[in-house]
Amino acid sequence: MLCNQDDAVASSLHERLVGMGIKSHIVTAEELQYASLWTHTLDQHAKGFTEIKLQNNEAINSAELKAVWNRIRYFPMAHFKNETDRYYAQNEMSALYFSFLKSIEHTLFYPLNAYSLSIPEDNPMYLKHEAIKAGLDVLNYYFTTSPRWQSPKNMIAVDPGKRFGTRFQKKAPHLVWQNQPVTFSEEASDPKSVWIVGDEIFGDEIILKNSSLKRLALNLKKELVEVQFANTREGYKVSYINSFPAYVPADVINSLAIQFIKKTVKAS
Amino acid sequence: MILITGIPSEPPVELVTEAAEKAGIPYLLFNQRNAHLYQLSLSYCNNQFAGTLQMGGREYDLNKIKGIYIRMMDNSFLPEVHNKVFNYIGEDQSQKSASIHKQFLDWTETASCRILNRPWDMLSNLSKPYQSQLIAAAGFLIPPTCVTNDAKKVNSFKKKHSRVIFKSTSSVRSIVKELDAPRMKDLHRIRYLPTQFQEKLNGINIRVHVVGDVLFATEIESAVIDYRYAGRENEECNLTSFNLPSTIEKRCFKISKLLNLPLCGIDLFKTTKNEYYCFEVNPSPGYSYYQQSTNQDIATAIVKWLDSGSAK
Repeated sequence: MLCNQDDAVASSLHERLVGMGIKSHIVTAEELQYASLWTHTLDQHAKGFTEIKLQNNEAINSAELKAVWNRIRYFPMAHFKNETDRYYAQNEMSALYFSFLKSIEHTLFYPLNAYSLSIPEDNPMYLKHEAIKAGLDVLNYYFTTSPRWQSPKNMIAVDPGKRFGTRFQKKAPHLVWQNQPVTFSEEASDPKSVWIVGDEIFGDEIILKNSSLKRLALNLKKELVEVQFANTREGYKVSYINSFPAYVPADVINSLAIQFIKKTVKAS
Repeated sequence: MILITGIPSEPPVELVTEAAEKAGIPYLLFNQRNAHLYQLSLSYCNNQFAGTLQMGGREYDLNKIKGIYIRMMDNSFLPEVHNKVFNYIGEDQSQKSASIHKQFLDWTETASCRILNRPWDMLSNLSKPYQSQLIAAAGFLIPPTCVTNDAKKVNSFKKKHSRVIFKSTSSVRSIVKELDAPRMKDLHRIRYLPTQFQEKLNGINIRVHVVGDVLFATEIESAVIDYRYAGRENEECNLTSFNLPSTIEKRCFKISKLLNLPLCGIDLFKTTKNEYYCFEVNPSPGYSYYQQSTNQDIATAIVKWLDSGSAK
């Protein structure tokens, strides 16, 4: 399990796997960046082999890996004091890491794609677009750099910034003249979450009835996604999609563990 | 109507703009440096997308744009958004500019029009060895590669391949250099950061620009390893049009499709044994350098493809 320090989801999954008798290891980004040995080779047909020796003498050999779950979002590279050097080092380390992951793609839940390389920054518009494509209703959304005197009907300003947000709606028509960007969202209440694990879905019963969720899960090709819904005049709609949940319930961890084991068995 | 985005005076943007003008293809120019003066609205209402861009007092429907050429620099590096320059636009306008850039680029990932190229598809170049694995899937050979922080491994790699170069693993630009005797003395420094080494091949550099269904190949004659920097070493660099064998052309189109990059600059290398290797695929090629040296009309191919879906 590859993750950054203090990743609660990775720790829970690791504990669950160990409890099920599986030989599981957590290796953090920090351990990888300080590894005493990193050798990643590609032959002229791009066949890869990787050998890593951590500071605690634990070794990782790409040929021996059965299943890998990637949760690493960044490499701090704090040993580079100069900001420019650190930026370069972070990019270099990430580039090596992605190539390593690509070369062990058969051990991952889903093959890497370009979206995997943009982990730190989700694109809410893309995720909403995917939800609509899958057949789900999403909350009405309106971004504009040209705010009008009043919010659109049944919509509220949602930007958390100090210059707009709720102040805009109540008493700040002058913001029109300041020409500030603002995002409006459909009024909604009663938020509920569902978690997609591979092709399994967990969460609130009302939401689970929606058959389009499975289609979304297949389209996103993500091992773990949280989809938040909120209730509107027209029923529950998707309000937010989180492709890197920091918290998940126990039954979701259990499902992840079972899928991990299946992957391990398959690789054996 | 096509949309050209970037800095108007930057040669690739300038040439595309001139080509659109010459071909009579209606175009809009999104000047990043003026983004704070534009108005952008994007919405999903009842699951339907609508979007408008206001520039120069006119409003344009984003759903009616046929194609977009994206040649944008990171907006945080625009001179106007830094408060120590004479033309600083102020905090509010800088924030607005950043917001327009972010929302516009996010939208391009979902837009149904033709785009050269979508931002995510450009990411494969963030990791050169990652991209190499995709390149090999298209049928090209890649130079044997070793990324390591261990000097001993580099020594054995060098023994095996005789001549070796090193370069950055990521897309953060570095100059390709040969690992010669003086640099071998500094090898211990790699222990702090794994570094990429590759076998140095003998032969000629060929740059291929794919634009949808058309390609342009250029042979580069230069005595230096990294021909982009020939000038710095007081060396000359001669560029001439080149005819690729049809099998290699097919592979170039295959890479372009595989990487979802209808516009790309492919760095090929033809060895003395007549084998074709591929070093990397540039997702936002500075094609103007090649066009100006060879008269290959890449800019016109770009605007034709954006307008009609064919660059022919």
